[in-house]
Amino acid sequence: MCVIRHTEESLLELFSKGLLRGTVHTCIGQEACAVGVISALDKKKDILFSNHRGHGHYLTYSDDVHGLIAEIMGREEGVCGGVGGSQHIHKNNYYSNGIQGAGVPIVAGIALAEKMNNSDAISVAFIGDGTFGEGVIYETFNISALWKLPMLVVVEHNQYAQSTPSYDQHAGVLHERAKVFGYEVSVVDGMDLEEVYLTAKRVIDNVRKEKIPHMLFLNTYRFAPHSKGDDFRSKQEIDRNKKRDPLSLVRDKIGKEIFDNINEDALSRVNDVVAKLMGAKH
Amino acid sequence: MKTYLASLNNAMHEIMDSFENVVVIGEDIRDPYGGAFKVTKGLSKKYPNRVLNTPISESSIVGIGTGLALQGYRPIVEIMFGDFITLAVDQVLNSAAKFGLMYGDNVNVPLIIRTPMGGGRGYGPTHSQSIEKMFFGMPGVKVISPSLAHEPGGLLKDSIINEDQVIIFVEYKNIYNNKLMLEGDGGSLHRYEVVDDKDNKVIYVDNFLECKPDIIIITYGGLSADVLRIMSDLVEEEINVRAIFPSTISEMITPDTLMPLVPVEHGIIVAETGAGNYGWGAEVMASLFEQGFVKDNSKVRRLSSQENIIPASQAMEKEVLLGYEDIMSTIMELMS
Repeated sequence: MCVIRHTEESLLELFSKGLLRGTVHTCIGQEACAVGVISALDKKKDILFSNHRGHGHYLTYSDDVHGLIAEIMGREEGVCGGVGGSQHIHKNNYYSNGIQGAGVPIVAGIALAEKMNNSDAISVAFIGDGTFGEGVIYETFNISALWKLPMLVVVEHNQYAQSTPSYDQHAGVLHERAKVFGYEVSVVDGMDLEEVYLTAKRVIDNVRKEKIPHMLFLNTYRFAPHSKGDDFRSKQEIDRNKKRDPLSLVRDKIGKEIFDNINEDALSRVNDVVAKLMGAKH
Repeated sequence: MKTYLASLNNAMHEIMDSFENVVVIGEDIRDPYGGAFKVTKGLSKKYPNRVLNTPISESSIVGIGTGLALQGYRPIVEIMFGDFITLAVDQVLNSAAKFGLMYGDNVNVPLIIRTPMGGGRGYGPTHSQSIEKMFFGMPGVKVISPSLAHEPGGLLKDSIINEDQVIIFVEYKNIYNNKLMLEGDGGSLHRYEVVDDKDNKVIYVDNFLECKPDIIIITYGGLSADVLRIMSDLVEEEINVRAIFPSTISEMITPDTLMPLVPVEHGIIVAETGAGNYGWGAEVMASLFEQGFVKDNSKVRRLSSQENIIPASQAMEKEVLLGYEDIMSTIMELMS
């Protein structure tokens, strides 16, 4: 989680210095979602499909800080040779793409393939609350429930789609939607790593065993803007949510000393990568 | 003699028999119905676990095809009418076609999407269009469309064997029940085939042997029926026509395959069933000029259907769609 936080902060700094092109969607505040879910997967065989806000997912999956930052800097040594940038990343069983919801049917196809192979691998789609505006996800909820596909849909409900709050764009209760197709939905506090991990573990074991789709609905919040110049949330709202910073919650659980050690290691790891990429000696 | 449809249906059976990783997905494709145009007839009886009926969810089923392809399967997705492929264009453009290009060398999406285009059967404005041009110029996508002078099933099999990218396989619904014009089947017509370095199977048909053609017609897909009929009808008139039917319509015909254009006595016609603006014919014409095969504007004609919706009524549909009479009258105009 600390590696994700420091990587994202470095990226924002590089961006503000004009050293990154395009856009950077950070997941600061949502780290417990990525770490809790992906730590409960079998990285050797399970297949992950992430989205436009996928740095945390990628780092948890691969621990490849250098490949990610280099990719976003447009370097050849980046994990996709600089072609993909922030949103289009692939390594082994990990994919991400920048089109909202488009990965969900692909994850269903992957789950169908694994089911036909009689393997016990599962596939996982990460989406946000904003993605609930896209039609293809409902087509796929229907088919995946009908065909009993071993897939997990992870929703990171961070309450905003860029600048538009969830309540301004969605009718009804989001976590109820997939249930009408026959999905089981587990609603979890996405700021609490332990709760995310324990629920994810139980749910993933069940998807693997029963070969049925499941939705893990994580209530979370992103502390940083969607990208740049698009954040109109009040300081009070952001500060209120920061009181439940997933990193602080972990620190409270494991103790300040252990946490600080981990955090410092993470910071120096990320700094080393950035320094190396910038060609600086230290 | 085999029909266009029978060739495709036989090929689907052979493909499923030969390749255990082929999965066929689409709406109403299982028996006893066997697909809206019967291309998948008999498949689900023989391969019940690899022929999947889906809900009406074009976008999702193309995405499912992409996921299957990523995991090593060879999915063939049927989109019931070509018009409905609009619902899945995002999946083709922004996912399936991109993955092989943006994720590096070890990712391929060998996905075949079969779909019928074209009118002539009275289905009206949303079931009769030829909209394959939206896939032309799309990196990572190849568009293949068999004519009556091709072996359509053979092209489908080649796509399974040779291709590792997205194939939009455009069948023409007006010729499903037509007999193919294969080797020796052409009556007075003579057929030969050239395969270029991009695996484009280009079929040449002459209505006279060893004569300088008066007219060359370059076209593809469903118009082949009209063109072949015209060529037979012109034997009596002693007008020499050579037809050129490419199979891959998303890539430009190479100079080598265009060589038979030279010399031509009276003119060249480029014809397509879709609306012409910014279309296939425009690209073929540009290429003819760029490659120096045509220097005289007065000898080339570009024909297409009208820029209009396609009405259901037979008379009005005939008015909008390019067909026998328009091509014939253009030949006569060039000959005069």
